Amino acid sequence: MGKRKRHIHLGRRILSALDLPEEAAGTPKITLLGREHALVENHQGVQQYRAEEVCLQTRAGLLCITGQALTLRELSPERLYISGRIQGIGYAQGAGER
Amino acid sequence: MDMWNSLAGYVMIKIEGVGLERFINRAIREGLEVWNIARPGRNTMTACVSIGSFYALRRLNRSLGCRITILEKHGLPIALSRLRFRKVLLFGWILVLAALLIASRYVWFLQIEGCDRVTEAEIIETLTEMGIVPGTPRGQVKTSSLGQAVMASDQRIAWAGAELYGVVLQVSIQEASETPAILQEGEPASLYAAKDGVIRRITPLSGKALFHAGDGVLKGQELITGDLGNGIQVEARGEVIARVLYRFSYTAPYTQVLPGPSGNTFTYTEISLGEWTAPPPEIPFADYEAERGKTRILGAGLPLSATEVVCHELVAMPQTLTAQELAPIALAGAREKMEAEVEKTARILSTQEEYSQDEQGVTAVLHVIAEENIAQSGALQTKDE
Repeated sequence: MGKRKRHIHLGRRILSALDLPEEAAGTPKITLLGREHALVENHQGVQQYRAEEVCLQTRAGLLCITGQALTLRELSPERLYISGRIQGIGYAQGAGER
Repeated sequence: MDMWNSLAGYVMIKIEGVGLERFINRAIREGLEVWNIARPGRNTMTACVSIGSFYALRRLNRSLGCRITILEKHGLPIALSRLRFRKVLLFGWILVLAALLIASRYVWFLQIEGCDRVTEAEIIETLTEMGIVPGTPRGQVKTSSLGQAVMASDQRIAWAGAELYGVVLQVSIQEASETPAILQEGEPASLYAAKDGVIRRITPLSGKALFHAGDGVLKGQELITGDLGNGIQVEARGEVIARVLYRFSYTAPYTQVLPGPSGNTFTYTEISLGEWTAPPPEIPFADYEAERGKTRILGAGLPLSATEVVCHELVAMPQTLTAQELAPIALAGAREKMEAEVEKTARILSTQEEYSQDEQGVTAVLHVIAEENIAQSGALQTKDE
């Protein structure tokens, strides 16, 4: 476990030294456009999908987006575009924290 | 994206089963084109899938055991597939496309631009002589040589160019400016003032101007001389625009011979059908005044009507008029004189009327200021050295 932490920190240092953005290392990036649209980059799959909640597996943990009438507008291995009435975005506690 | 999907074709599907998230993740991993995923129920999901991805999705589903139902089909391939069963319509479409394709290989419209003195009909005639008519194959139209040929066909055309825009052949021409006529030199002469006036503008075309704008001139004065000095004499030509003041008067006597009613009448009925009116009978008077009576509608359904017309004979008879009645007659007489004397090309700047009354009648005086060319050619006056 300790080895893994060390590896990530090393990766971040390299990125910082090369002036590269942190998402290049696979860190999830969430872009929120108003209350209706959200773009999640660097996800690792859909953990749970309901009209009221979308939970995505990311390197930073389980990312949950709550709202109403949530729709997965576009899907790709790196990006997920969600639209609907977004009410909250957060990480589930204790699940996959790194 | 929507337009591309509509062109490429897609289906809206309903997926029923458990573990639908696994279904989404597998679709992502396989790189399938799935979008607009909605979750209307706990074990139900709807999504749009491209036609290519739909078959891959069915293969993928074999291990998941979900139930896939097609809800809607959209796009061009779907519309075309429906045509498979409407062979005549398909044949018609193919026929129309083929006709369009064939028709697009011909010139169907001739568009001529830049015509002024040269008419469009003349250009079209020239093109027809060259074999370019609506229906000529586009391949036979050599635009570069066509422009040159049109230019060579008429001396009034300075430049011509042709361009093909689809089935339209556009021929643009630029006309040559007219060559000014060479003036024939005549006997040495000068221009003299035909009337008294104040010069507004003096334009000598040949010869030498002796006055400037603003100068007052009297009738007979030399305005532009043909004697240029050193023994050179030319025929003076030019224009001298001056303001000329006119005064016209006319006295109308109190006793006027005017047409008046003799007492004789002639009555007839005028029949009209809509806009059409029957020609009237022969009126036995040389001059008369018609008085129209009430119109009676004749036809129940037709627009037929009858009007009674009474013609009162008018004969010339001496009448004594008042000063007020005579004023317009006097003015009309003055205006008649003005029209006879003032040049037709003159520009009337202002008119002023004056009336006076004496034992003879009413006199109207019309003061007119007009601008006109007062130059008049005359023999050159030789100066005594």
